[in-house]
Amino acid sequence: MRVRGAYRQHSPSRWLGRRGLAVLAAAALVVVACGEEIDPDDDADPDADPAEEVDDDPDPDVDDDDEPTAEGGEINIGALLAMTGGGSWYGEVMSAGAEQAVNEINEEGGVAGYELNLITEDHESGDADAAVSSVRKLLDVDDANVVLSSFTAPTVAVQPITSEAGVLLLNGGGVGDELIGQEALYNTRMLGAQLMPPLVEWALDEYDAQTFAVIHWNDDAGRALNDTVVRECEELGCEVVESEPHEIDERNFSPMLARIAAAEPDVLVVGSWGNDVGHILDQARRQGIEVPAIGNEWTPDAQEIGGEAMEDYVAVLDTFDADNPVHAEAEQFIEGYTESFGETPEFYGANYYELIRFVVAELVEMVVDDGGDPTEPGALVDAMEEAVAADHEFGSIYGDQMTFQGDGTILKPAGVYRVEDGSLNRFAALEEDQVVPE
Amino acid sequence: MSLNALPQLLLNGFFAGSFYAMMALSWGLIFSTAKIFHFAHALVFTVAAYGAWMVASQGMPIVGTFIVAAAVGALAGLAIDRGIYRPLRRRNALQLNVFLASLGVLLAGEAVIQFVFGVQARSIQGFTLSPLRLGRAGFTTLEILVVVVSWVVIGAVVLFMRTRQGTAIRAVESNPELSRAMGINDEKVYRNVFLVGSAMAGVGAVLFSLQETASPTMGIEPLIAAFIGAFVGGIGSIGGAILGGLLLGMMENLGGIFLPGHLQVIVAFLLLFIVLLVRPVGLFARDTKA
Repeated sequence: MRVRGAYRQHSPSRWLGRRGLAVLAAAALVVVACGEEIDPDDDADPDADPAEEVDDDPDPDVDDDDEPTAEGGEINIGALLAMTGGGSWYGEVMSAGAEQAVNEINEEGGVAGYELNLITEDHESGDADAAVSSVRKLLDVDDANVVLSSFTAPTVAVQPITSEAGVLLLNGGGVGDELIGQEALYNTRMLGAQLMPPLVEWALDEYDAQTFAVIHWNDDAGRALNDTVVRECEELGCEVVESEPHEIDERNFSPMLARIAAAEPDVLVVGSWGNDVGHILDQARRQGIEVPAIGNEWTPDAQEIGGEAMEDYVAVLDTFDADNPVHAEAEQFIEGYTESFGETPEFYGANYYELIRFVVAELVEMVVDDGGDPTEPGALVDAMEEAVAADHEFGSIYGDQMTFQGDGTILKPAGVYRVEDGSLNRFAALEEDQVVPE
Repeated sequence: MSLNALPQLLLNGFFAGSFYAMMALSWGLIFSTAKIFHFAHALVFTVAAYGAWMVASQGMPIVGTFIVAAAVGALAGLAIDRGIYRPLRRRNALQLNVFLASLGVLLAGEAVIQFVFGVQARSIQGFTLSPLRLGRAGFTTLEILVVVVSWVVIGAVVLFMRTRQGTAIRAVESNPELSRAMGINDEKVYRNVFLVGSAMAGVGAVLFSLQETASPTMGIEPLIAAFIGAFVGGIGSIGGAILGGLLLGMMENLGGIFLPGHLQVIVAFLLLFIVLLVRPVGLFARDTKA
């Protein structure tokens, strides 16, 4: 198997966040309180790297370079995911989907003579600095030929670097507007700008709402979602009476929610992802905010955290139905994933599976068929541009095929779901920018 | 400016401040006595939370969960003192070295917890929430539990500090050499402050996990609140630590009148830096230089 996970547990950039501030303040307080002087030359090791890498190569006894490879060599696939931090659930399922695809392809003898090699790196749940550091490692050390990314801020941060290096960047998780129309960047997750306007329009009618309040991640994705809701409301004649940003992985939402409660909105829009959705709804209900809540995300972890507070929460999501596979390939993925990882796949795992299983694999075949070398910089990017221009139909486990649009976005089946008795139940489809009850 | 939010922010400030007061007293007791910037207090908090989660998930009632968490916290704190700090004390290690060791323990401990329990957040169940209202402000019975437990623990520690053991702690805190000359066993005192302070952290961990979740990195924010509260109130002052924590909670939340909520962390550190500049001994500690 050619899957490596080499993400870092703690990088310097992570330490420059709130924790870093705390350590600096604490160190200062140690000096203040104890009256010790610190000699700047004392014990300082400027070369020390606190971000020691952890290589959890499943087979450490085998030197990767000595493993037998397919005739054409290797395609190095870098996966830049949220392996630590509040969004680590995403990293878990996304890397599992990618790993499933790589294992299947390699067991079948590779693609067009090339074996796939997956290298996972960590952007620490949305840290752009960590993402840049990790992608440089993927490009300079691991010679990645294609990079899979997630979250908006890390993807936007690394896009100029991958583009400059002629490396294809594929996002299956981020939803921000800034992901649209970027060079050599393609998305297989429906974006917030595509999903939220129909949901806002639906909520306007369903709840007879005049006013909305938005609590959102203070990053590109969250701000884009807030902007989308504000824009949509302006068009529809409603008003966003309060917008409250918060840091990713925030724990105490009470000041933001107090301001939202004071604004007395008819609907609360949650523009946050991961565990934060559960925390927000839990704390909102505890503060007496009982208005309907809508959003663009639901995860099992958020459901567990939010518990009863999640009841009646409505989310618009990509639809991957593991209980009703659309064809044999989807069924193969679901069975393989469930067997390998002990749980049923959801849409994030499916996105990263099909990014490799279909998009990368088909592009490699195209390049080889044209007599090119897919490991050459720019080869896969050029192939992708040609495929998009030709409306190439890539395989998909959501349906029969998927076709990218010129701006790097995609149209996939999406549905509207409501939490009922602790479970997520689909009650409407998203068709032609409209919520259509089923 | 959002004055409509004032009642809710005041109430939130009192809830948060009560919890911070307990945490500030917990951490401040250890720092002022053992003179250790006990960063690993965050790890004690986390270990206790996971201990609580393990027993609560087996159906233990909430009172039992608090007791187990306090015991786990106390043992974890004692283990860190005996395993890490005492050897360093005996080698007369610099305060900064002890601080770095404490930081290392925290990082290593978090990694071990993540390895053993995974990265998923864990909820502690077993407390039934009922919504309550006070005018325009909403809260639940959980917030009442937080306030009651925090102040009961604070009260118990205040009473403990009036006992013979508490007097010994205060003696070591104010002058270790003199108290040693008077026959007080300072190692026993250090053991006691780690037991008491860490047990308080254990109780705090249950309150925190009931409100949010247990996760490998959960301890850092309560630790920040604890040391800011302790320094703002004044190191070595029990009343100062309590008032410092309460003030911090109120300021963080009332900052929401003027600032977006996500900037609340600025309020906390601003408060700390202003106090350190204007009155370095803390707001409520006696200034012995005056």
